[in-house]
Amino acid sequence: MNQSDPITIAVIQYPGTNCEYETASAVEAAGMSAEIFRWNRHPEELIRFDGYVLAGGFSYQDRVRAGAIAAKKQIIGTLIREAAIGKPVLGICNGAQILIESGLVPGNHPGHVEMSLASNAAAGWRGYFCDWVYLRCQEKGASGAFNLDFTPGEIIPMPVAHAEGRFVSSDPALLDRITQSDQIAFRYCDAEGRYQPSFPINPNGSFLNAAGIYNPEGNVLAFMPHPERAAWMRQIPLDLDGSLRTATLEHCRMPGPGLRFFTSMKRFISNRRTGR
Amino acid sequence: MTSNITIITEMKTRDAIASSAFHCLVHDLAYNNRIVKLERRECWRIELDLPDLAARMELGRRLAEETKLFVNPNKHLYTVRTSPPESIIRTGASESSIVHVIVTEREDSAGKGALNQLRSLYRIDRHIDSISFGFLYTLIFAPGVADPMGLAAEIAQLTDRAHGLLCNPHSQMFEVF
Amino acid sequence: MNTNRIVPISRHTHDESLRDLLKKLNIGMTPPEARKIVSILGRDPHIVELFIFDIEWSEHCSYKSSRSTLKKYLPTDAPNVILGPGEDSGIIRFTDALDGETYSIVIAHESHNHPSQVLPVEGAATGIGGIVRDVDCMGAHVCAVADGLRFGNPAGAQPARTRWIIRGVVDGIWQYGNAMGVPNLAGDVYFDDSFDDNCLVNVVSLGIVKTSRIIRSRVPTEARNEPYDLILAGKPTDSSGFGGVTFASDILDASQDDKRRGAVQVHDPFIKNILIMRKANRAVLDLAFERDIPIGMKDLGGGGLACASSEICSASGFGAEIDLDCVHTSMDDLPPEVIACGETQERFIFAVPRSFTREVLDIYNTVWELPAEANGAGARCIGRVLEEPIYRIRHHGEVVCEAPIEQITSGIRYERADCECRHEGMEPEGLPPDNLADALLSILGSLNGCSRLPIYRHYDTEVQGAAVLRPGEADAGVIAPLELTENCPAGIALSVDGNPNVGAIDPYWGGATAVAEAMRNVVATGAIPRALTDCLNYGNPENPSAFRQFVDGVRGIADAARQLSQLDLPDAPVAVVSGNVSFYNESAQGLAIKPSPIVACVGTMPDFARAMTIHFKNPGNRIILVGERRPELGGSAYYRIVRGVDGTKPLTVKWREERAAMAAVHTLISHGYACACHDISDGGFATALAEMCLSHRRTRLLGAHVVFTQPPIPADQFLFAETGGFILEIPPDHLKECTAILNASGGVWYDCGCVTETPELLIEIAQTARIHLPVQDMRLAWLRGLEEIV
Repeated sequence: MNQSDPITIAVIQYPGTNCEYETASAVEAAGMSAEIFRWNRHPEELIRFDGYVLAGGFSYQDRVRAGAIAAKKQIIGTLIREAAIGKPVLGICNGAQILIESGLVPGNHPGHVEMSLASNAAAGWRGYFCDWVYLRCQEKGASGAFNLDFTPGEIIPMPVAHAEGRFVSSDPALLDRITQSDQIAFRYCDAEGRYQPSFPINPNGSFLNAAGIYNPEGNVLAFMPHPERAAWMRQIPLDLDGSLRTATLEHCRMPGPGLRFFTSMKRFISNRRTGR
Repeated sequence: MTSNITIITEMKTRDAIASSAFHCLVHDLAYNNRIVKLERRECWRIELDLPDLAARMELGRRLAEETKLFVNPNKHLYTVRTSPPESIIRTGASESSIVHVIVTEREDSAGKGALNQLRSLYRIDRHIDSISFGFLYTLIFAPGVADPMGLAAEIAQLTDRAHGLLCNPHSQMFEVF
Repeated sequence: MNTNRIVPISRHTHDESLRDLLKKLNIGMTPPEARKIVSILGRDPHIVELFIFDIEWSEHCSYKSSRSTLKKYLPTDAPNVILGPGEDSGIIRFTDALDGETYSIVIAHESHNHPSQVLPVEGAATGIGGIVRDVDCMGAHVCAVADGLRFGNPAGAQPARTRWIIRGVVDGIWQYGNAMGVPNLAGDVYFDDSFDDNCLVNVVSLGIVKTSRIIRSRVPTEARNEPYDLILAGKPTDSSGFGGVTFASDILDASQDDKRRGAVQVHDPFIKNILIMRKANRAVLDLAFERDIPIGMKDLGGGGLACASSEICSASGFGAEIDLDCVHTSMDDLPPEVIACGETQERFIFAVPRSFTREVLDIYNTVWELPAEANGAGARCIGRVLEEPIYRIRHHGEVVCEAPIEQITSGIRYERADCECRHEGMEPEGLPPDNLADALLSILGSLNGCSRLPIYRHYDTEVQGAAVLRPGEADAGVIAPLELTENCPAGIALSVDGNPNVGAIDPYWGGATAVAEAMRNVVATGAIPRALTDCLNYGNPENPSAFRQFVDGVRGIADAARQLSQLDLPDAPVAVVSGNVSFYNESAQGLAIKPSPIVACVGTMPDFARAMTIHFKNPGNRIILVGERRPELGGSAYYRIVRGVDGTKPLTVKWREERAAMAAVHTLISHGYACACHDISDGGFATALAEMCLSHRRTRLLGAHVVFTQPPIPADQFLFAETGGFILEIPPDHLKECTAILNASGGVWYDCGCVTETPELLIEIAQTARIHLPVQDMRLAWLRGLEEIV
């Protein structure tokens, strides 16, 4: 592949997906080209893309369990093969649930479902939760494709919107392994970066405040918050503590922290092409 | 002495979750020759300290009809059982080809929430020790299917993309009977 | 026709026996109405015809009690109005964009009160589901929903039921809206005993459409030149929404009873997502526009297939022939009246040229695989457009309905009697409390004064990525729906308002203040109010005093819409472009709800970046109060919560002053002179000032210090009167411009203090600190008010 070929990303669209358009806009804003890819198109058409985003929403209306039915579709089989050769795959929110339900993440034992994104368990809240939270990037530096453009330990605001976002596993040893091998890409924290376990700082009761988990290779990320909804400064509320956003006209139009997930993805793909 | 009642509710209209689950088993997984139907009900298992059978039935009826926590008569049909849910009446095809699977959350907020509300709003929590909520799936297999119980367990327990659907064991539990 | 299913109306010469017959059939119409059908048809009706007329002549479809009042008073036209009331939604011009296109705003407003009382989750969910269909079928992309909710008192006579309704309605709204993928950006909530037996769930939906691509709910005139088919797309028809019908055994087969028994309306946001969220319907419309194929499209709502198919054809003078055997159903052997009139959700009807039919069907059935992936949903050709104005339905080869189409769709009308009803209220006795800080705290912690966070935190405000200001941040929700796609910075503000406690004292001012408050909220974000929608929730219109409340409310809305007018076009009213009337909101004992007009206002601004939040930004900035405080505290939070009375003098609006204040505030914001703005409403000035210090997100809080040396009315009334007005935060370097603009407006205003680093609220009146509170104390009370309820 030629270094100058445009980078193309498939944004996967299931029946019930509802974030595909703004996700495609964020991909484009990061300097890649995006195509919304319907789940039932021929799987071979998927192979020509450089990377993949499973957009958020409610595929199959979360019937049986969030992500459970989408994970069974043929398209995921193709995605697993493409991920195995190192292409980047980002699952956002419902996309993360699909990655977990299909065993792509955490992927320590490939092919096996090793975790669940369980119903939020937070004292003081019942059901779906939508608000802005703070996230802290992994402190030892990026271990994967989607946080290359963040500084280690950086604190960013981002919205979450889900009812099932608690990473759990019935295997305690697995959680240790994930932690030790630095697979947790981002963790929920307060405005000062402290990993408080209490609601709403940790909005769903996830272990170690995990908001996003990589596979061991670092090319697949299951991420519950919505970077595409923090891709521009205008999307960020003005009343956040230490808000990045100011009320100036120009600042509204600047890129937000969420866009760097996609610029990181672009850098990762470029590095892959040059063999770095 | 501890004793149980179970309130089982069923949608009066077609259940979309059951339809989608069935479609997935038949079209996306390889169960098309073996499963012929899938039904879903919701199941509230209530642990009581009430030995008298008639009193248990009466409490079950009150919970179902005098509270709004379990049954909405506009959309549900319900039954109260004083025996465990395993004894649900089996209709249709031959007995052996019908298997029930109950799936519950490891952190059962629905059950706890119902008990809290019974205590705080209705004040009819006497004799009630705990409430647990689950989905009760009824799998109806083709006649002559080998080891229906084993097949139901395979369909229940999610292990990888090709196997299992109804229960993700990392956050849920299931029983087959 | 099968004579077994003819209803022998003409055989019943006495009203009594005819009434019994209609009741047995579960037909709501009166005996004279039934006889009118016989005279229209020249024969007794088939049961299917009887149901169709019954629905078309219902209050919901025909506005039979309200239409003449609405027509008489409401302003529905203005230069920016593209489509007023009459079709599924109203449409106004929005903005030009860089792509050379002009964009319009589509807005609709409805109630789903009665269903939500018995089935809160399904009722609220299908309310959202219905209103987004109304917007989608104009060809628009749905980009926001909002809701006006009125619940009973959770600590009142029926606490368990009331809480069940509150939780159910909130769950229904999020389960539907979030799954479908439309942000919920505005709304209001009141709790009051008068809603114990009859909650109100009003829903508003807003969409965006290229003006050149508006689709009408009518068959195109091209159908005169080539054959047009009618296509039904969406969920398979079932018996849901056929209202608990029990059938008479004298003309019907009792064994069919189960299939007729209406169940509830069942929502399916999954199918709706595939239909409307830039998926299947969008593909049909894109293809039609690409090839310049004229089509018509309408959603199926009340009255189901019969209503939608007859209305889409009769709107342009055509007739229709429907074959019920072609309708896809999810239950076998549904009776024809259920297929024709049942209200299965998630369905649309299209009128397309026959040469296009195949491709349209393929989009639903093959491209999106609806039959397999969505439980038997899909699209079918179910009939054709007739040139002659006849409406005909066939079932199993027989004609079950044949009537002149305009007779079906023209409805009926009543002139209802009205009579005045006086509110019996009291002014408070004794002296006002010394401690106004406690009064403020109890308002902030009250059900109607506290933060709505526990409700709106369930709603996805961020989906689609267009939110600029969300609930809690500003007085109205603001979106920039074209920023992502067209690089056009124009913003839309949306607010929903209506204080039932004002309407209870004076229905006229209940309507007028709802409009003023909704407009003020939009102005406070920096937008200009451009259109209104209303949902008019009242009691039984056959009761003259309840009907008078309705008429007065409409008059109040109409006067406010005309008098306050568009800020940059003084002669143009802020037109009422869509709306809904909901009567019979009363308990089994016949106790009506408080008169509750709920008004939505949509405003526009050229650049979303100017949108204003309510929170204080910088210590040292000046605090400006705009608008006089008047001693009219009837229905105010202060009277009801602190003084324990309703009062007698309702909140009013002085048109000229109100309009001048809005215009001045809009000018200040659009010039960038202000950095926070909040309107004054429930709880008055003191509460509004407190809210500018409060945020659920912010933990580093700012305070305020204001001083009034000699207010013109007693301190408690000055601080808590709910007279409309604004509070602005102005940086000192803009004080000069601000002074000039406010002086030119001719209204009352006060430069009354400043934002402080110390997180305390200090209000001094006549050299005395009347309120001095840590902001943190206020925040705790404010955040806890609803905590245990939702």
